[in-house]
Amino acid sequence: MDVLSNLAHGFSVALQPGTLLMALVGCFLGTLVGILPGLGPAATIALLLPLTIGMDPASALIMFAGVYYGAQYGGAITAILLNVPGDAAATVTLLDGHPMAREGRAGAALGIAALSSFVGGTIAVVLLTLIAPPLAELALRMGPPEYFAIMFVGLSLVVALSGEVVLKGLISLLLGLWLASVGIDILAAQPRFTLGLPQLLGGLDFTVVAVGVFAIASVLESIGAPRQDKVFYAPNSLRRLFPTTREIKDCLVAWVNGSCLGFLLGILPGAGATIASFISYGVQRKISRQPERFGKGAPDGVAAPEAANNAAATGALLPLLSFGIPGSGTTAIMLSGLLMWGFRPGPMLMVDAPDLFWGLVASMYIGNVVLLIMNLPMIPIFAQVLRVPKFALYPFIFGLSMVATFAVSERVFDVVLMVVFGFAGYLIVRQKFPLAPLILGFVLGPMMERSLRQTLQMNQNDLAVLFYRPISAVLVTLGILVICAPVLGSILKHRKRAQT
Amino acid sequence: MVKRGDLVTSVILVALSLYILTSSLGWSYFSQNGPGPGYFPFWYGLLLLLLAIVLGLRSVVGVRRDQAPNEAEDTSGAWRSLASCGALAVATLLIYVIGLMSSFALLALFLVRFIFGRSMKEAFVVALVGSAVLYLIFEVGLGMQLPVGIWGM
Repeated sequence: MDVLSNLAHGFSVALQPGTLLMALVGCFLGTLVGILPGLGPAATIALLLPLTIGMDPASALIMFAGVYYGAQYGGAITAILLNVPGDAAATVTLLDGHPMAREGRAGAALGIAALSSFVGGTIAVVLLTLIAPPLAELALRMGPPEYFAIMFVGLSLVVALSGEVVLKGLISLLLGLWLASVGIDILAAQPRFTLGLPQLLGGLDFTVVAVGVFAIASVLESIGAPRQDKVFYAPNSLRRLFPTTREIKDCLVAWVNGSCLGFLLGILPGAGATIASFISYGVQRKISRQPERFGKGAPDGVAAPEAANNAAATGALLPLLSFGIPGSGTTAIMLSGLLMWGFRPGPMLMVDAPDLFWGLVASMYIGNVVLLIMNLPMIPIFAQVLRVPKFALYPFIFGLSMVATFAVSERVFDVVLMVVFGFAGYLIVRQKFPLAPLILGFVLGPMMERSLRQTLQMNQNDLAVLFYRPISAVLVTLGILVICAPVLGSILKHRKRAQT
Repeated sequence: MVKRGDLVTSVILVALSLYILTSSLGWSYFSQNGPGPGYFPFWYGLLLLLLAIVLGLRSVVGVRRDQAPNEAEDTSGAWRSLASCGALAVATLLIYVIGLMSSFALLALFLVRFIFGRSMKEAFVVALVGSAVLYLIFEVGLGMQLPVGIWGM
């Protein structure tokens, strides 16, 4: 009952004209960046952050959420029409979506993707509404050791799931922790890693780092990438976008599978939309009566990953809203937005800022409907966006990054730093280091260091206290296992190979 | 087969971790109030050093022939990216002299003409339209004062 009345309050916030407009803008921008190469939701939100100074925080956060889940849908458009995923999460969608386009069923594939995103997003937001409040209550009973343990297991998962090489994920995370240490240590008033530059005493600004490593690095990467081939244009008639009854029937199980798996995997730090879409596709193929259709244009091969990646984007907001701990690069940027607007993200958020919390949750119900209504008739228009020439787009993203970074603190020094991080980010990506652990390490670093030092202060500098308290003991052990499992696995594999 | 990229990265990371370690040793590790500012950096610095060494060793001995990277692939793409990054760096430093809008316009001109190989006319259009859009959003729309250079633009 409490949840329902809170949700009703959220709807009263989200349905205000200004907030509704922001949800629309967010969904529209999200779909656009999902389609356009070289800019993902994380980079877009980082670029938008400085523009939200002075804006109503609830409206700004709702816009960011719209960008986040709007991008999940936009990615499918390029996957289906171009055989190039707009983002990593849409990689699986192209396996069946593009063959459907080649058979002349591009409209149906796009329609299924839109419907699946709607179903996945809506089921996930219902789950978020029900789970977030009790989880936040649990978080209120936790102390520094438990918080440290949650961050430890979260970062371990991010590292373990971030790519093929755990070693590079770990290094990326440690680089993030180092960047987070730059500036004056608040507990001891000691400047650290400032290179004698007074501009670094206040630490590195999040926008500077995020715009550099996400926006600049990904544009540099795209500039060097080979050119793409033929586009299959979307149909101009809306009628041809609706899938047949048979196709919808085929998708029903896929929607349930994708939504539930997507939400659960989205909660796990580091897993996110990409892994969710891969796993739900694999499961759908396993449980399908005709698995041989997969890869050749199966409608449920589009439905499962599309429902999963939208559900995962919503699931990823759960740890951010309940614990104040982000699980992905994009939610890390949203966390820094909350801090910038003066909020204390965590379990008290729904008590201290009910407008913000419940307004956001309610806006996600609305946002999913908006996405469906906006996307179906606008697919042909969005498809035209693919024709925007790169030579015009990329210089503009550079310009936008320069101005947005300057806007944060009105210092050209920060623009210089942004370029340095852009170059570093490009090298990191080229050397196949994952970026998500770096940005999460950067955001969580101060919180992690503070909770570790508080834990040690409370317990006479005895780190073993982490194993005396049940929740932290379980989580720390889990974190160690998550990190060690791939290493042990590869040692065993080497031994086996040596024996044979 | 040596993975050259990983080897160079490893050397850079070893240097960085040594910088972190030596800096952290200069700060208090433990004080009466518990761990000091050197505690956390010391441990992640040490871990980074160990991992950087492992990365270096793997790059020399750990790569099997079938995993060997094709380092020759698409070097022209890499040069395009690096040249763009260099242009961005120069444009950023030029902000101090000619202001942000003029720097962006020059950057756009260079990128469109030389990196993307388009005509000078197209380069001018992108530079002018891009500058106008940024000006309208930030200076007119948001009332921001962007840095101006010696030309007062």
